[in-house]
Amino acid sequence: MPNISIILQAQFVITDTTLSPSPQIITRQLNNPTLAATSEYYMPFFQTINGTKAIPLPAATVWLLYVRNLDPTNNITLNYTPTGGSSTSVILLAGSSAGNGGIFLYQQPAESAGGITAAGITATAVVSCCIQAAA
Amino acid sequence: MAPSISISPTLTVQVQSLTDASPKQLINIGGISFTGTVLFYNESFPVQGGAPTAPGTAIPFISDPTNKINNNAPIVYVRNLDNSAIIALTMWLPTFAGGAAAQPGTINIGPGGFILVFNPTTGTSGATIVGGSNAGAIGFGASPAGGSTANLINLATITGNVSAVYAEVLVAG
Repeated sequence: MPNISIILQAQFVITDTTLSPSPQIITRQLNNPTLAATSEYYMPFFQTINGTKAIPLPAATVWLLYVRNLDPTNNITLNYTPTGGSSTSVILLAGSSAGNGGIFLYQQPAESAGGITAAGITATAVVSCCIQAAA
Repeated sequence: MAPSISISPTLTVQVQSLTDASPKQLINIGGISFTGTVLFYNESFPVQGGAPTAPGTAIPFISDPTNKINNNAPIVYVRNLDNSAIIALTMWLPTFAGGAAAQPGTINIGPGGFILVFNPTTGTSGATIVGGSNAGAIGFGASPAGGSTANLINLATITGNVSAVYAEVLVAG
């Protein structure tokens, strides 16, 4: 039985900057996708190491994984293993200022298909990133 | 090329306790934005061409050999619009020069699920990507070696009727 409800409120706004005033050519409300979960790991300032540090997932398979690079200088690499797949990675760039780095977000509204079974962060220094995982 | 688009998603994650019904906001990603030059957006992209039981089977995605989306896409968003079928997204993920060659990563996306990779810039100075020039981007439109027009982001169904499965797709660079 789920204990928590994780709701993503999100909207894309895409603007054509070739015109002035710039019109919004796409506005997309994602309609609050929600995951009913029982366990969660949330670390607003996860500290990386010079190397790879595993993310302690709250369950064998998580259906939501959010990672954001909070560092203004160092890139980080997210390594994740999809269910039934092999480990892969994606680079999350440093932001122009602290807290504005790259984002990875994987969310399933039901715990039935997909999922991630392992994850870790590779960095070359101790930097902060925000991590949420739930199942 | 001068920037022609600006993408500004607002993202907030709320975690609500189902035991005491007192919601609390844990994450507010806020107004991250990206300024780019090219955009592919299809709110109902037909997933086709893949065998129903072959995850990762390539399908034509962007067939333009001139790589309108560039060799790399800092932003990729794919959402499964089907209510029963599963789709598999395969992304070629470039690595820094000197590291391992880019490898495809495949992840299943269940009904209604999605994946978002959003980097606020197209790259950083001093970094070189195998098969591309933009750190942090996802290889797109050319092979990791840069000599092919192979489609590097592929959608393939693994269940359901492929002719009736659609995904929302946004790629920008």
